[in-house]
Parts: sequence; structure tokens; C-alpha cells
Amino acid sequence: MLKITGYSDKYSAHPGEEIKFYVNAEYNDNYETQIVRLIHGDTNPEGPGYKEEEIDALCNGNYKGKNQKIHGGSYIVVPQHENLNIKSFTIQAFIFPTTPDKGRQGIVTKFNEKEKTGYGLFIDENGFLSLEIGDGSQVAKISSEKKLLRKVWYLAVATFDAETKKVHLYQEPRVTSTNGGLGMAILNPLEETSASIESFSSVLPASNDAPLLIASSSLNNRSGRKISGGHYKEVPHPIELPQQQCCFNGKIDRPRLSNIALSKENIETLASSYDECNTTVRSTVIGAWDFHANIGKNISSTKIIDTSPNNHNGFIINMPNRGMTGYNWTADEIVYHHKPEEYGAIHFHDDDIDDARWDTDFSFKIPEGLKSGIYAARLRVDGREESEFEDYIPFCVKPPKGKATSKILFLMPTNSYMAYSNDNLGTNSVVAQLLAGKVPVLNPSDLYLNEHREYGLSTYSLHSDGHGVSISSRLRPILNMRPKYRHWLSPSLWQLNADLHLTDWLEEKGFEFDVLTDEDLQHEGINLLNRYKIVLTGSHPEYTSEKYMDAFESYQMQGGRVLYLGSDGFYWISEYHPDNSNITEVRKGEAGTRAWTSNPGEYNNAFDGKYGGMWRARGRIPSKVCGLTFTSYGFDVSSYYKREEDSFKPECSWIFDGIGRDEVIGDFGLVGGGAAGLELDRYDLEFGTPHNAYYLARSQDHSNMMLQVNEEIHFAVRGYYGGGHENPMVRADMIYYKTPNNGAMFAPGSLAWCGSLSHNKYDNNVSKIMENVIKGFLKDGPLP
Amino acid sequence: MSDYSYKYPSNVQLNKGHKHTDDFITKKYILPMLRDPHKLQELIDEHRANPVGKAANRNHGVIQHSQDLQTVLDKLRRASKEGGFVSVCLKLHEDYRIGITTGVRGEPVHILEDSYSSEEACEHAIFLKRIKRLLNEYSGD
Repeated sequence: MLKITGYSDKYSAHPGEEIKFYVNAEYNDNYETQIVRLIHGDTNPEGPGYKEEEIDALCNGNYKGKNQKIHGGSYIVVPQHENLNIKSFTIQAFIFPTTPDKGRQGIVTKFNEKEKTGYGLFIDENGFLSLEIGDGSQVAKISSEKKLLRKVWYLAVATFDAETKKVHLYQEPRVTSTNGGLGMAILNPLEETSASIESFSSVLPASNDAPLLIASSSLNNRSGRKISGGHYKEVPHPIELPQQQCCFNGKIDRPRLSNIALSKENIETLASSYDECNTTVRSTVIGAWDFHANIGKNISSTKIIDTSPNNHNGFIINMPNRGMTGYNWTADEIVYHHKPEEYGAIHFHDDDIDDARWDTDFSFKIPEGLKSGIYAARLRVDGREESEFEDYIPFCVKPPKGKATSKILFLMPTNSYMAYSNDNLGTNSVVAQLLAGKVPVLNPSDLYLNEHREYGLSTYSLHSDGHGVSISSRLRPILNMRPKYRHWLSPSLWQLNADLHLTDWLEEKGFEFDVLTDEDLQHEGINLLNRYKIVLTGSHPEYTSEKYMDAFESYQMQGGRVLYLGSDGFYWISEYHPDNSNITEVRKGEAGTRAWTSNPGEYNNAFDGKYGGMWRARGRIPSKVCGLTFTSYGFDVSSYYKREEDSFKPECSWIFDGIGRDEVIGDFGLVGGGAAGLELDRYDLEFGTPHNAYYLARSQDHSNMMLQVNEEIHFAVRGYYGGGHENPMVRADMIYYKTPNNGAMFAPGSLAWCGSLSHNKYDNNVSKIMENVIKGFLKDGPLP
Repeated sequence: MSDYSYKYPSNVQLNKGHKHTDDFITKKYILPMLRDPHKLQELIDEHRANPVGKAANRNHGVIQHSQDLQTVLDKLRRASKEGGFVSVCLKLHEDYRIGITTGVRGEPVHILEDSYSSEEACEHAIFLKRIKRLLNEYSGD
């Protein structure tokens, strides 16, 4: 099992800036830190092998390790206040449980497990609604004795009168034809899951120091971890978090707390709105939380509004999904900010994570003059190199602020790295090996992630309740974004480690280059790109924000020259949290080659309010941005290219200097044995490829595992939508086009392309084409 | 699909439709091949020689599995993660083991002792185990 894991507070920094590192020494082992520059991350003995350069740094040295845990699972914290320590009460909420049988789950609780104090509305270990009251020595439990059903809305209520000791528990299904989304509309017999229980409790709730939690319960009242700033900018003073447990899976809408046992009539009125209650009822309300109260153009806020005058406002922790359809969703509107009152639900998950919130272990101030590039803090236990004993925390050293130190920029697709973070598909998903065409090959870090679900998931994963993961934070160890890491989906590498194939080759060929990240482009926009003559993408820049797309297009129009060196780029709409760009969101819409589909009415991003999913749905299909669009995928073996007629034209032949007329191009490489593989792009005039693009080369002879993307399959018929042996859409197209002001785009259309660069000691025809293009693009003036 | 099943499930909750249809497909298309010793040996030989496939190059076209082997592999690969197979790489390019998943998130992968020197060798060992298991599963039919 892994001995050490870590993360940093940022992905990139200029010289003079500091990066903080957070480390978990699983067994409290001491460890050694060494800053390294990452050169080549592929350990394959058939290639150049692993390469890194040790860098002098003040932070290098030995550290005392300590175990640091992640408190995963989302919930709402309402800070402790004496108003919340009540004797009589009504707790009520609409709930939509998605794992009613998982075990005990908190709905609305002011309860401390260890002290046995307070009160809470729970789902119990039998899947029944239950009330728990603790007086400090014993806990009374009153259960509905009826099972809650998955994906059904209920009004869930518990009342308690401390004078009469009377308890009333209501478990009432509230099913409409639309409100369950894909859940049942015909629920019969209702009695099977309905309850109205009258009982008594001689146990009175003892006051405690626990915060009020929605969607979980307190194990410890205080954890020493605090929220403030960033996505918690609305927190007036830092709030200390509890250590939560019993995380709820599913949706909650309109939770309320009153200090008397309300009548059923008053419960119903209060359930829909505090404002509709008469003054007598209002005077009993301690908190009436409307999750839709602060829906504006978006719902990126982490604040939860108490609509009562008591202002017991709360905050979401670990980024559950906001802008979710509520108990009263009619489907008249499918955009949450068009009808906020029908989007009063938050979907909580027991494996949500926004920030590991670990203590800082060391920091690294980037020295002036340190070359821009991809670096990492290498952590080793016992000085051992084996994967169980070491971790790398990668980061990017930027050129000095506002300057370029090279003519070439490698734009690290960090947003896409985050989308794939900690996917766990090798152990979770049956589809994994059907996609890969082999049994998933797991590394020790994959085994660790499998057992540590609090490390969170990727946007390719499903939460434990089956709901798609739409939010990814980099404020946690991302163990599949590491040098040396071999990815189950690829015959070898994927994303960060695969992109080192490119930077290693640049270095071997003597091309100077700077490195910046997607996140930097988000903050600086087009000015960042305009400092460079040439911009290189990574192998898989799949997830892009609106600002990225604007800048990328503008750069081309203003004379920038681009090498788009991958496939399936510019595909998903992916937005950063407006107050914390360490966190991104993608809603996977209704179409696309995708791991999950957004639920009905939940297509718009919480972070910017706009329609989420594929860029093509917003009029920005990739072929309009880079000339190519994702056409097919298959992860077993790769293939080769052959030249097309345009490659011999005077405008293009310089790209093929040194390449024979009938030469087989790229029938070698470290990614599937060929330059055309994993995911392929094609040109398509109907989808906006520039009409006078040059068609340079085309791949062929792909296996039948290579299939056409599903977003283009309207009828899944044999003979047309099959694999490489029957479908002309299964190919990588290599194109080149010119843009205004002497700009240009070169795109080989394959995710495996860069894996072939190092073959035969970097002397091969893929390498030669790349060298020709870059040298040609570096020249001033018009292109041939 | 949720990780948490209902405690008193109905047959639709148990997804019997999928199970029974898969049984039918297995009995009609898969088992006859595996129960024919000659055919079985042919499939095993083919898989041993080429567990994953080989990329096309200037000397030969793409090498992929025969239709029969692919049909068997599709069946084996769509199996549940309960008792499912993975490869575990304990030392890069040197030590690969067979791992068994429980299908429950968070539960450890059980790693078997036998070591294989390559991904392909481990892949083939898993193939053999899966065929044996499938034949045992349907031995009463």
C-alpha cells in the first residue's frame, strides 16, 4: 500500500512566487523531498526511459511525515448557535434518497455521536426514516418502519414536544409525473413506503456544541479545519468545520427547523415557503433554508440562505451539486435560473471533495531565472524508488510575469488532467476493459484510491449513488497525474505523462519552449498566447472553458501559429469556479462520447449558469476551432499514416521534406505501436473545417476496436457505424490551414502522435514532420 | 447503478431480464465453442499468441482477434466486477499479478501470488481462469 501522497496549492507559479505542498505520510514515515524537472515520464524500456533532473532548492531535504486524512462527503454546515439547542422541535425537509439502503445517513442533525447529545432526522440502517434524540447518556430512536425507495421524493418530518414527550414522524412520498427525473412516476402501493408514526420519547435532547448539519452528522464537533476565502468568500469569519459522518446520498430541498411540534397543516405551509406562514408559525421557525434563494445568473455560491429572520446561514462543504431539480420540478423550464423556485434541491454525495484541507508541510519559492518547464516535488520514503514508496507532485514553472522567454509555448491542458483525476474505473466499471480491449492494469496508486474513496473521483466516474461526477478539484492528491504512471485506458500513457513525450522531444531537438497551463490562460486570456510565435497543445486538450475557446480562436485570427497535437480536443464545456480556479465543472449533457448523462433538467453549469456538455451544442464544434473533430476511438493498438495529394503541393511540401512519396508514416511508437491511435479526429466541412484546409495525410488499417463516436450515430446500423474494417469515418486526418495575418494550424488528428516522436533515437518520420512544421512556423513572414 | 442494492428486491430490481438474456446468449453462442475441446484449444492458442492485438506496420496489417475469439472475449469482459479480474503491476515492466475485485467500492483488490513478467502474460492467465470459471458456472446446464 502507498506510503506517501500529496498535492500543492497551485499548478503553476512565476519565479519569485511560492508553491505550498501538503503531504500525507500514510504510516507517519519520514520522507525526503527533492525538486525535480520532469523530462520524460515513460519508463518503457523500448523508449528513451525515465528522465528527470534534480534541482537545487531550499526545500530539498528530510521531513517528519504525518498521516493526514481527507474528510470526504458533502454536507451543509450551519455554525453552532444557542438558538439551535432546542427541546421541542419540528425538523422537516423534502428528500430524494439515492442510496436508502446504504446504512445510517444524516438528513438534518444537531447531534454528536460520541456524546450522544442533540437531535437529528436520519435514514437508519434499515432504510427507514428515523428520529434520534440523545440526552448525553442514551439515545432514543423512533423509526418509520417503512423503507424509503430510491429516487422518490418524500416529505420527511419529525416533531417532538418536550412537555408531552410526543413524537410524530411523517414519511410521505410526493411523486409527480416529472419531479423524479428518471425515477418512478407510478408508485404503487403508496402505503408500502408511507408512514405516519406517533410515539413517545422520555429522552430529551441535550444541548451540545455541534453545528447543525444538513446531509450528514457530527462525529466530532470541531476538526481544526476552517473555511474562508476563495469559494468561501462569503464566509464573514473563518468557520471551523466538524468531522462529519453518516453522509447522505441524494437530494434535499427546503429543510426547516422550528422550536415547537408544528401541526401537519403548518408543516405543509412551511414546507413550501416561510413567507406563506402566519406570524405565529413564523415566530417558531429557527431556520428555513431555501437552496434556491441565491440562484442568480449562476449558482456558484457556497452560501446557504436562511430565509427566516434568524440568519442561520450555512455553507456547502465539499461541493455537492447545486441547481438541481427540486421536489416541485414541473419540467416547464429546463434551466435552473429561469425558474429558481423549482430548483431548490442540492444533490449530496458521500464521495464529494472540494479540498483535502491538509496542513502545509513545506513550500518552494521559485528561484529567479529557473527555466520555465514541468517540474515536481519528488517525495520518497526510505529513499526507495518503487511506486509504493514515492509520489510526485507536478507543477509548472512559468516564465517571469508578463514575459515570454521562448518563441514556443506548450500549453499544459491542466483542465483535462483534472477531468481524469482519480477515476477509479479500473475497479468500478465493467466498461473499462471493454473500452481498453484488455483487463485493466492497475498500479499501487490505483489500489490505494480504490480503498480511499475520500480522495474523490473524476468526471468519468459515477458517485457511489450512480450520479455522474461533474465537479473536480485539484486540491487533493491526484494520483493518476504523475510521471511514470501508466493508465489503464491507454496501452501505455495518458495526459500529463503522455505530454512529457512532447516536451522531451522538444528538448532533444533543441527547441526552447515555455510552459503555461489552461488555468493561466483562463486568468490572462489572449495576451498570454500573443507573446508566442507558436503554441503547442498537449495530446488531449479535451476540456476547455469559454475564455480558453475565445483566446484560442483569437490567437489564430491574429496570426498565431498552432500545433494541435492530439485528438478529441476542445470537446467538453468545462468551467472554473469563478472564485477558485482549482475547481472545475462539466455537465455531460445529452450527447457525446461520455461516461454518464446529465439528469433531466440539469444541463446548465452551476459555475457560470450556461448550458453544459459538448461545445458543439453551443455552436463551437471543435472543427471550427482546430479544423478537426473527434471521430473515433479504440484503445487496443494504434496504426500508421499515408500521405495525401495536398502534401505534395508547394504550399505544403516543406512539411514533408525528407519524407518519401509512399513512405509509411508512424508505424512505431510507445503508445499502441503507432502514431495514429487511442482517439482520432477527422476534418468535416459540414462541421466548419476551413474550406481551403490542406489534407496532408490519413491513417488507415485500424482494428475493429476503433469505433465511431456515438454523438454522430443516429441509427446504430451495421455496415456503416462499425470499426476500422468497415467504416471510412474511422481514420485520423492530418491537416494544415492558414489563418489571417500569417497564422496557421497544423493538426495530425491523433492522441497517440507524440508517443512516436522518440522512436529510433528521435530520428523518424513523425519526428521529421514535427521538426519541419516547427522550423517553418518559427520563420517570420508569410508561409509558403 | 447504485452500489447499494435493495434489501428485499423484486425481480425487476434484480435486473433478471439482463441476466436471463445473457444466459441465453452464453448458452447459444459461447458455451458450444468452449465445450468443443478442439475449438477451445484453438481459441486458447490464438489468445496466447496474441492476447491484445498488434498494430499495423509496413510489414503486416493490423492483427486482431478472430470473430470467435472476440465473441468469447466480449462475453468474458462484460462480466460483473463482483469477483472480477484486473491486472496489478507491482513492478513496472517486470511483475504483474492477477487481482480479484469484489464489486463493492472501497473493498481491497485481492492479489494472487503468481507473478507474470508482462501485461500480456497476465492477460492470458486471466483468460484461462475466466474460461474455467464460465464452464464451471454453467456446468449444470
